[in-house]
Amino acid sequence: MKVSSMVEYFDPATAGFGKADFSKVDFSKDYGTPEVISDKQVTLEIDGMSISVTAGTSVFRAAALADINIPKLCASDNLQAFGSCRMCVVEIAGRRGMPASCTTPVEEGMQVTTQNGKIAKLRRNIMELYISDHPLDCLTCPSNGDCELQDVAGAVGLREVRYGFSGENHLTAEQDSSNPYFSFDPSKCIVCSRCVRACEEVQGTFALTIDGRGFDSKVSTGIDSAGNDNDFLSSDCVSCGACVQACPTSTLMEKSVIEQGQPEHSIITTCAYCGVGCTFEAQMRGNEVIRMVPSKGGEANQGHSCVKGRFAFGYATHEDRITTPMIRHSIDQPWQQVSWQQAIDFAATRFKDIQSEHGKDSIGGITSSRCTNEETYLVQKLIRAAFGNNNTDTCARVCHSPTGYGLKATLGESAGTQTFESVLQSDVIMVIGANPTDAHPVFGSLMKKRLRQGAKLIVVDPRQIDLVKSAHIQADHHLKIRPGTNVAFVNAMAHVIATEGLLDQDFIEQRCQQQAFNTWLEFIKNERHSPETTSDITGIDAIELRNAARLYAGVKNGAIFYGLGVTEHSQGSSMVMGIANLALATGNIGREGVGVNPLRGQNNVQGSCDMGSFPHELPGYQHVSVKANRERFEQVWQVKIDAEPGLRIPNMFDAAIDGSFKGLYCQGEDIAQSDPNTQHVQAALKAMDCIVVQDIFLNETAKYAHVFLPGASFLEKDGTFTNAERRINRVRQVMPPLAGMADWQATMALSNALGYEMNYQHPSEIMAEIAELTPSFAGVSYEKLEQLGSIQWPCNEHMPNGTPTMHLHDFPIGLGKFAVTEFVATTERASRKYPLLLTTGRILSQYNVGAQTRRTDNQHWHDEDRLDIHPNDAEQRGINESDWVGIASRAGETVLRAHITEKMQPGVVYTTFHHPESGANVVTTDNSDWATNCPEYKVTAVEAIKVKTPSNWQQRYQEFSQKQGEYLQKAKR
Amino acid sequence: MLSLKLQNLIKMLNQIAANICLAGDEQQAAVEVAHHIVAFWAKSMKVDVIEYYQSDGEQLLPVSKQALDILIANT
Ligand code: SF4
Ligand code: SF4
Ligand code: SF4
Ligand code: FES
Repeated sequence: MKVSSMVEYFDPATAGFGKADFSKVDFSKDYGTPEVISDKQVTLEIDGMSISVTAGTSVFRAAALADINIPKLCASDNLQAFGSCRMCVVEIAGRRGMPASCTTPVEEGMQVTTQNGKIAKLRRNIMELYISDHPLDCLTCPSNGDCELQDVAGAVGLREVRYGFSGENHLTAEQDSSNPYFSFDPSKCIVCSRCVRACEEVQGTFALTIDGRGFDSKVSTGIDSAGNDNDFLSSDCVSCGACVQACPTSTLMEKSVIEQGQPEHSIITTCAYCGVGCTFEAQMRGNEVIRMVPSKGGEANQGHSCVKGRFAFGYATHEDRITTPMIRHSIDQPWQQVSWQQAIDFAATRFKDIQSEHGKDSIGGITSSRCTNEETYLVQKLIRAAFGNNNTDTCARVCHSPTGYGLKATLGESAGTQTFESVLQSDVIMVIGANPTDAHPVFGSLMKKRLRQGAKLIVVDPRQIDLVKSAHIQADHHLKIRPGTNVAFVNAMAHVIATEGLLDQDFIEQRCQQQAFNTWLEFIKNERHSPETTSDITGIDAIELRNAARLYAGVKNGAIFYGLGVTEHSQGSSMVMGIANLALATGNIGREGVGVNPLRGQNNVQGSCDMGSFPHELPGYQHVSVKANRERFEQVWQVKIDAEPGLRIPNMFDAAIDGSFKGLYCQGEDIAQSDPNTQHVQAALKAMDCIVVQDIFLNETAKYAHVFLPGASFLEKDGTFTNAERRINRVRQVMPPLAGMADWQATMALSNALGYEMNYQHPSEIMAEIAELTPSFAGVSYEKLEQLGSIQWPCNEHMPNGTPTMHLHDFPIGLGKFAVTEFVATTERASRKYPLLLTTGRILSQYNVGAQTRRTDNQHWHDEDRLDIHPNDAEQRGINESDWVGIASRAGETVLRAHITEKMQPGVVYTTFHHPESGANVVTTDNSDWATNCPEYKVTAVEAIKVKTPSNWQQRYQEFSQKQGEYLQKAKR
Repeated sequence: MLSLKLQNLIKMLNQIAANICLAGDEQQAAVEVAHHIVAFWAKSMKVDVIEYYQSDGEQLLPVSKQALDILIANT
């Protein structure tokens, strides 16, 4: 198959980054066994050719590197060698017999023969045995043309099968098609165990085993608690697809290939789901994506993926996609389909009218964390230049804005400090308020790999997330924190470190501001922060916390990973600073294996923050009140920029209800579902005169809109995303935009209609402008991205190839700055009326508001949001599994079905927000982080009672949605 | 009754004041609170909360008030 664009990847090894390896690694080739890193080189001779490789490399890999390709079946270069098929046998001078080259390490002076008559005969015999128990339906097999068994049969010159096909065989074994995305046809299985090893080593789930011995051995998905055989869907399998990719035959096969046939070309692009930012080959047939295969050359994912990125791309061509622009005068009218020009003119006229009537500041916009950097940049540029104000914000407001604030205040840069790979050097991993195996699965797998190698694990979470205890992993400490008490916890950790002599004095002296440190030290040593005193607040046992602090501070490399369980609190920013304090106090900054790492939710949260989406910051976190910053932009943009920060999303809502904010341009964001206190949001949206929504579906917000501009999915446009490691990855168009315009083109058209001219021919020109104006992007260009594959910002004259690890020698603010983080209890407290604390989160198979994943077969795993509740709390309330439960807070009420689980602690309930009709955010309040207004999603005081009918809100929602659905149908007719 | 918008502004300002209380040094804290407001709040928000402070101000914490004094003095 032809792989267009970028077969040649950047490999750090070849660029002199210190990884010892040879010449060029071609990621489209399988080298049989994994790369071995060692300082020692070994020279040997293979088929008369002299070859030098690192010590520990297999003979197979050494040969492959020299382009001597030995046939193989059970080996693959992302798995440890197993040596079961014996297809790769070779002869070694001075040794008896024929060893398997995949399990034989190279030795100095070794002389290897990979081809001769004897070897060929043995290989043919082995192949004959395999084929005698394999259906001969190659011509009609979905793997035809992409089957390693077929290739190897050809390579070894198999011509006849003497044993016949009548003997005992597995040809009638039953298929398992329970997984919606791939099928398992054991009649074609050669029991090479690649799938089993992929599930263990790559994914870390251990769902598969080889059962039985010899002829009877087969791949098994385990048994359930009743002792019956599992199928894939009922097993522990999380549908990551690693086994499917590893399978050399058509035994494990994507259903899309079975149904649609083999792809004929492929294009490298980036997953648009989560902040891991996996690189994929979109394997295509014409304009149709057949399958997504994670690319081994992808620096963030190194050939792995999760169920969302690999399989859940069908939404892009779902029938609900809206591909024609629509307008209407008010939201109680049916939609009317119009041309792009009509829709854009309608929107521009309305915006201009509002501004002339209500003033320049009466409109604003929201950029998307799902769109590309270039698109986000354009939207904030439109707002600043064409609207003439700074009323721009982004959905990062509701997830990671405290990260930006907290890390900038302490470390001087609003971003994580490491690469993902750095975790492989961590000795202790502390995970706070994050659930990587569900929300950042590919990174979760990497972390699990390190944990299986022996790194220690501290989990700080109110829930028993999967990481606490899963196959071959057990957290050393699970600190079951009470929601809303993070800062008390982090201060207690710091207190132990400061009072037990665990501070890294050298680091603090050399790298930190002394005055800030002294103030902090005095603050933190106070007895009120001790684990014994705070234990009543946090619910964490003092001794356990002391031990966890000693563990984190006591090793060479301690790394902290955190998620929305840290940021989405009234003290989110303080907590981020508290985490940075811990890292500074223990010197865990500025090298591999350590650091402070926010795990970002959506694919381009980092990018949307970097691109100036916030109302107070121009791209690159350049404050808008600084004259010099504005001047540079003013010169290039040829327009005056307002010196005052604009409104944030919640302030926009308040102003809308107040009547001073009337128009909103909202790109790729569903604020009506994702933002807290839904009823308040709905009231605000209803109060506006012109809402322009640009999205691929008629989302919840669009039900309140006056103009709908059809968006383009990530498959339909060029651009870049920036992942949680600050890694800028290319997004490449694989099919034309269904609606005729990519999002950046629509924004441009709107800007032009508003009278501010934009004229870019390609996103690369937008990137050139970003690089010109943003110091941390100064060295970024599409050419360099082609050349290097990806770039981690800052990328400038000092770091022309980007910066994998931040703060190596100093901080952007010079010295690191300890921050005083006083614990201030949230006003959201359990009370007589609302005795439970509700916290919210997400799960593996669904993504955010679910608009995309709900339109795929991922529904099989999670078709409704449930309320997780501890058995004690359930019993007290007479709630049984699957009962309807009304959840009420001071903001509102909704009804969900109960799921009773001991993974919750008593007093805490939990739900997800993937389905709009669940109304999880009807219950969440407008409490927010003190510094950034990031909503306090993680703490809401509620009561849960058994009910029989949906809540009033849900009934109203049903009616409203139905009416809006009819308005849409009318437009289509 | 104060408008919802104003109630939120008061709440936000007091929350900032509560979180920036620097180990008892009120004056320094007020300076930082004022700085935060300048750096992050939209003009209309500043105007609204100052107007409230000058006409009523009852629900504001002492540090919040001091911060607004600084803001007023600098504009
Ligand atoms: S299913 Fe595929 S990978 Fe697994 S043992 Fe069978 S042939 Fe090998
Ligand atoms: S899809 Fe992933 S989790 Fe499921 S069996 Fe295969 S490798 Fe394991
Ligand atoms: S959702 Fe995240 S982990 Fe899964 S494939 Fe996409 S980027 Fe990778
Ligand atoms: S490839 Fe080496 S034994 Fe199977």
